Order: sequence, then structure tokens, then C-alpha cells
Amino acid sequence: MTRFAKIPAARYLDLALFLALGLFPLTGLMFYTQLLQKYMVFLIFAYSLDLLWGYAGLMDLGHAVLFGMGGYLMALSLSARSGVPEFMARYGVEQLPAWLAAIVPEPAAVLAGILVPALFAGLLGRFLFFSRVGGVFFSVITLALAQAFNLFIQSQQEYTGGFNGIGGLPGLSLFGRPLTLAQGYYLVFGLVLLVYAFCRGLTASRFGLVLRGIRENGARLEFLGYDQARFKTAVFAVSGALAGLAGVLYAPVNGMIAPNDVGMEFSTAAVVWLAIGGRGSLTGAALGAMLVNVLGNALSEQFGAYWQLLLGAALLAVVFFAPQGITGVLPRPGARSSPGKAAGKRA
Amino acid sequence: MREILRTENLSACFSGFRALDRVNLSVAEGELRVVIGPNGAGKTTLMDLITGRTKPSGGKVFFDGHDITGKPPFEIAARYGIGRKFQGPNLFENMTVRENLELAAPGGNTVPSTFFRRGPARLRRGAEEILGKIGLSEKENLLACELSHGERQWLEIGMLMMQNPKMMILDEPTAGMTAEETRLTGRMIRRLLGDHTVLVVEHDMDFVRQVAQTVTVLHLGRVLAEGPLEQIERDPRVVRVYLKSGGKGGEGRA
Amino acid sequence: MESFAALLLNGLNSSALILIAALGMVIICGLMNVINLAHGELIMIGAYTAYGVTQSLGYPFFAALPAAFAVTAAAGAAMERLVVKRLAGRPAETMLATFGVSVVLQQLANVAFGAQSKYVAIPIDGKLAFGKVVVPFYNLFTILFVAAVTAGTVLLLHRTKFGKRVRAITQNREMAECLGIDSSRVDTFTFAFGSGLAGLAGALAAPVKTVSPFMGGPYLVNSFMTSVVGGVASFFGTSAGSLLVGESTALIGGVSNDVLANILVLLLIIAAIRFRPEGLFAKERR
Repeated sequence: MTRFAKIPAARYLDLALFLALGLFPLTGLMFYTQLLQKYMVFLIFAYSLDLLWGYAGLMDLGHAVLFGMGGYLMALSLSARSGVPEFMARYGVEQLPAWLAAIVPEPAAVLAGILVPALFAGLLGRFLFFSRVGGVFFSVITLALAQAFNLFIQSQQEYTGGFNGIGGLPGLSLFGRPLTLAQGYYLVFGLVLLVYAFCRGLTASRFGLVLRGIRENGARLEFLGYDQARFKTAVFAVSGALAGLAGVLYAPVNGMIAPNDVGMEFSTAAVVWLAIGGRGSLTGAALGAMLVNVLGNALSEQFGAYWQLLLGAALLAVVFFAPQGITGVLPRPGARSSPGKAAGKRA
Repeated sequence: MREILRTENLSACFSGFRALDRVNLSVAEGELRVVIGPNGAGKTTLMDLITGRTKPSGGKVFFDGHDITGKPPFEIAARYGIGRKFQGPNLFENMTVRENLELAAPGGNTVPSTFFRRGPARLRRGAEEILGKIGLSEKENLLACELSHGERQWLEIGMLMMQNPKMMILDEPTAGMTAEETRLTGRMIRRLLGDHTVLVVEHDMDFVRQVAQTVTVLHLGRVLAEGPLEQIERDPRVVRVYLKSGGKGGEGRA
Repeated sequence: MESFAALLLNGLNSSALILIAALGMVIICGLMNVINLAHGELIMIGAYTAYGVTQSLGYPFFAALPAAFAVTAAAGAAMERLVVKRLAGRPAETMLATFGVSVVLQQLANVAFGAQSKYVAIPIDGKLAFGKVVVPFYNLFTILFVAAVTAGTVLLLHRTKFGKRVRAITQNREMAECLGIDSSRVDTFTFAFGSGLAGLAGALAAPVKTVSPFMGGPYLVNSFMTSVVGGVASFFGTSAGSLLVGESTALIGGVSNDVLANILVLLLIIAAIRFRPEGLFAKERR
């Protein structure tokens, strides 16, 4: 076993990706830098789904809900900075409700955007995660929640801007000072690295081991003394926090937020990123997210309405021909490789 | 010797079918008890009830002085100390031998305790010893699904050793093994004696002869006979129901 | 706010639609043990077939019903042979694959028909009045039709040779194969039948709900919840479950609004499953 073989090939990919992202603004291509900034926000979202689905095996089909909670809270905070925003005033709202006034200050908004989805996920977890009922129940519930959330956002138009969402949001700022594109880019980049380090640490710890045990054979874990419901709830809450963080960044980076940004399409997109890139390695999530988004941007002018169709077809193709995604074809360090065996339960 | 496990009138009823009918079992600390009986006698059901996998429809289970009836499996495993090897085997297929063992290690079962402990990068010292005992020292980085059937059974036994519970339940540990593997397994299990209480469910009478002290025979959900092996082998009821010609168990190898 | 009786009758109508949508799922999920996340899209196919038959081709609605069954059954058969069969025994991958199928079907419909809702004319106009309570004829038709289809399905499964084969395979596939049953063909037919039922649900719903590429989602959720609440393998349970879901949605919706009703019913179902995972009407508690 050589030294180099000890380091998973995937880590080199991570390094390459971060190098590329870190150096990109030096090219001076402003438009694409801005685009990459948004894609880096998506990276955080992808990592959060990988923790939940890739490592713990919980297929969340409505993950965008947690993202949307963070995003909308931040958007509301940003638009309420100078009193009742216009879209609310149009509906006759004359005073900021207490909860909104509370999150107007930036730190409060960031905290709320991270904690609210985390708490929501944690609470939901306490009800959803118990043995006997299978993972499909979880997946369908997340679908149901995605639908309910969408309806909810659109129905509360006085506070959410309804179908059109909330627009005209200012860009990233730190301690009150607005940032330039380059500064904002590196802020997001720094957060991506932090999130990556956090996720790596988490998955390398015993907690990560237990998560994978849950994915492989959750029922067996119980007889080894683990309350798997608690672990599932914990990872769901952590994943929710990270998704919320991504949402919090999305609002200022994108300049606006609408129900469609945080609906089924976005949830499905994340599922496709992970399916194509590979789950349970963090690297695959990043790869899939970057690949699909960069390709999507390049191809969507030609494909337009067919892009979503293409994504669905790609998902099907991957399930049949490469169930482990791109990272599935990378060699594993220090072991006999037998690609056929690792299929089956893993999905 | 003090009693460590006791079941009182333990019953299990599924859709009207009485899988277990008022079973009274008493196991002493440090004992190795073998449970035999034909298929469908309720042996695995009995283990399910003791380990919390299934809730009984009647009766109670006492372990180490505590009433553990109906408690959830993780509590029975972590708090009270009962470990189980499944008829199976039941492993974490796509994880390495090392990781399987590491998961079984005691302590670090609660969420907070797992955040700060390191994963299986370096296996604990006790685990290396266990790897040796189960003969998988060379194979610690293989995936569980890549092992042979006998090796997989040994891995699960190894996990049980790692778990180091007060009482170990082994459900058909030699199922699917060759004669040689069976003998090795018998030796492994005999080494566990004294430090642990062991409850073994088995079909293979050769193996039973290798390890047994006291034997409990189950039939149709009830205890048919109980006592030292020689006595059981001569008991006419047992012979009629299970042993037939007195060679292998009535069902042969599982 | 409508009267209580009116709400109850409305709920009955909703329950009927939920029941026939859930029937297909109970057959596919309960009997075949396949998780089909494209179930909502099968309903959508039925709805679009009804649209095509009545609006584009101009045939009467009653031709649309068998057409919807046939078209959706064919789609289901195709799906079973191309996707489900290949992933047999791998539930997580089946789930992901059927999710992919669902996306593909939605987008195909989107590309072919556009995202705007299509409308199908109500075939039976007019209402029946019981004093203050008014019930549209079409609702009555729906309830009766669904009752008939449910009865027919139960008969099919318990009185016909085909039904016997299906149940044999469910109990013990290997044994059934040893007895000469071509389990692969029966699987396809069963899946097709379940899909056809979903298509019927879509066709029935088309005149009263809108037809759009993304209409399937709520149906998937409702069908799944109903089957789980009712206990997946039982028709009685499913009927009771759909009654429960339909009535509570209608009653709560009558008091507040629809969005809140949906959310509350969802939460109620989650709570119900939490405390009785085997379903509210299952015979056995584990």
C-alpha cells in the first residue's frame, strides 16, 4: 500500500476543485465569477444533502424546503431593513410583525436562517424516525412537505410576495459594509471551505461511521446499542442547518428569491447532482453540483424547456448504468476492488 | 451461581399463531446454555423477545435484576448489556471488517459521544486482538460482503466480542459452515465461557455436543425438556420430536 | 361556510377519488412490494388521456374512462418491463429510478402539452337537491363508479385465476414459480392493472380538478398516506383510510382554508403513523 494510495483519489478532486474555484476570479471574467458564486452556494446545499442522503441513506426529495426557509428569512430581513417593504405595504401591512422586526439585524437573520430549518428538521425527525417504517415513508413525507411549503409560501403573499417572490435584494455585506463582487465571492468561498472542513470532520468521526451504519443496516445498529432514531434526527438537523445557511447566502447572492427557486425543481436538481456525482463522499456531491450547473448554463440556451427533461433522463441513466455515480468508478484505497459487490442496497 | 436471565410465562402471539407459549427460562451467570428444537419451535422468537426486537403478548423478561420486558433493542443492548449475533449473518455489507468491528465497540453509543471520537482510522487495541481470535487479521480492510460465508459468521461473532456484553445470544452461529469451520467456531465460543453468559440457538448436534453444558429443548413454542446434554439425548420425548436417529438434529443443517 | 352535511358529502367525493387513486398504489406497493414514485404521473396520464379523448377527439366522456385505463395500463406495463423489473430486489434504487421516471413523464407532458392547465368538461351536468344540501350528479357518479371499481378489483383478486396467481406470488414467489406460474408475466400484468386504476382515477378527476403536467404530486402523497394509514395490504383498510383522509380534509377545509387543511391532515397522518406504524386498521400489532 503506497503512501499515495492511502489518500483517496477523491481528495485530489476536492483539492483541484477548490483550487479552480479559488483562482477563478483572477481571470477577470465578471459574469462567470458571479455565476460561480451562486454555484458555490449550491455546493453548500449539495454537501448538506450528501450528509443526509449520501451518508445516512435518507433520501430527501424536498430538501429545498430547508434551503427556502433560510432564503426567505434572509430575504425578508434584507427587504425590511428600512421599514415595511413595498410588496407588503401593497397588501396593507402597516407595521412590521414582531418576528420580522426581530430578524432585521443581520446577525439575527443569519442565525434565524440557520436555526429555523435546523429546528424544523429536528422536530420533524422526532416524529419520523423510528424503526419499522421504511425510508420510503421519509421520502414521501419530504415530497409532501415540499408541496405544502410551496402552497404555504404562495398563500402568504402579504409576507412572501406570493408567486413573484421577493426581489431587489442588496448584495452581500459584512458588518454593514457592502462587499464588492470579489470580496463577496471570497466570503462565499471561505464559507464553502469551512462547510467542507466541518463535513469532513463530521464524517470522519464516529458519528460519520454510525451514519454509514444506518445507511447500510440501520436495524442492526439498534442491537449494538445505538438509538438510530436519535442519530437520524441529529443528522437531519445538521443537514437542515447547512441547507439553511446556503439559503441565507442565496438571497443576497441571487438578488431575489421566488417559490420556484426553492420548489420541487431545485429539490430534484440536488438529487440529480448527487446521483450523477456520487453519494457518500462529499466529493461526488461537489462534482455533480458543479458539473450539472456548469453544463446546464452552457446548454440551457439551446435546450431551454428540455433541460429539466434531460435531467430526469440523466437520473434514470445513472441509476441503471452507474448507480454509484462518478465517484463510484474511482478506486478505493488499500482494498481489493470489486465494483460489482458494492451495488444493491446502496442507493 | 446467580441467575442472570429469567423469563416468566413469556408468550408471543402473531395473528392468532402462538409462536411462544408461556416459556419459563432461567439462565445462570457465566453459563453456556444451548437452545435446540425443530424449525418453528420458537427459538428465534424467544431471542427476539429477549433482545427487544418483538414485544411479547404476555409474560416478562428479567435480566440482571431488571425488568426489560418490551424495552427497545438499543436500550437492552447498551444499558443492560445483551448482545446478539443473528441467524444470518447480519452485517454492514459495504463497510470494512474494521469498520464493522469498530461499530460494535462499546461506549460512544449516544449522539454527543460520537461527535468527538475518531472513526476507525486506527483500530482499538482490543479489536486487533479480536481480529486475531476470529482469524481475520489479514482481512481488516476488506468489505464485509467480500468475505466468505464462514468468515462473515466469524466477523459477526467478533463484533459480539467487541461489544463485550454481559450476555451473548448466538443464533445458529454455524449455519452454512463446513465441518472444519464449525469446529473452529466451537473453540471460539468455548473461549468466551466464564467471562460472559452465552445463549446459543443451534441445529447442528455435533456442534451442540462440542459446546453444550445445559440444553433447553423448545417445541411448538413450549419448553419440552431441559437439562444436561446426555440427559436430553436420551429423553424419549426429545428423541421423538427432534433427534430421531440421535445423529444430527431433526432438521439437519440449517 | 357550507353546512356540515354538504361538507360530508364533499368529503365522500374526495374520498372516492382518493380511494381509486390509492387502489392502484395498494396493488403495486402492497402486492408487488414496489415503490412507485411515478404513481402521480400515471394519474396524470389518465387525466391527459381523458382530455385528449373528449376535447381533441370529441368522444363522449364514457369512452374516455376505458381509454384512460388502457393507455395508462400500457404505460405501466412498459415501465414495469423497462425499469422496475431490472431493479427488482433493490428498493432504494427502484425508488430513485421511479422518481426519475416521474420527472421524465412530467417534463414530457410539459413539452408536449405546455404548462397551462387543460380543462375537461363535466360529462353529467346538474345537481341533486336534498333540501338545503346540493350534490352534483357527477359527484354521485364518481362515488358509485369508484365503489364498483373497488368491488371489481376485490373480485378480480379473490375470485379469478389471475387473482389467485397474483396472491400466490405475493405469498411465496419461488413456490409459485415451481408450480408453473410465470411470475414475470403476472408481475407485468399486475403492475399494468394497478397503473390502469391510477389512470381511471386521473380520468375521473379530470373534469373537477385541472389537468396539468405537475398535477401528480398531491395524488402521490395522498395515495401513499392513505395506503400507509389503512395498512398497505388491505382493501378494507385502504377504503377506510381514504374515507378518513377525504373527510378530514373536507371538514377542516370547510372550517378554514384548503392550504391549512392539507397541512393539518398531513401532520395528523404523520402522528397517526408514529403511533401505529402498521396502519390504523391493520389486524396485527407488532
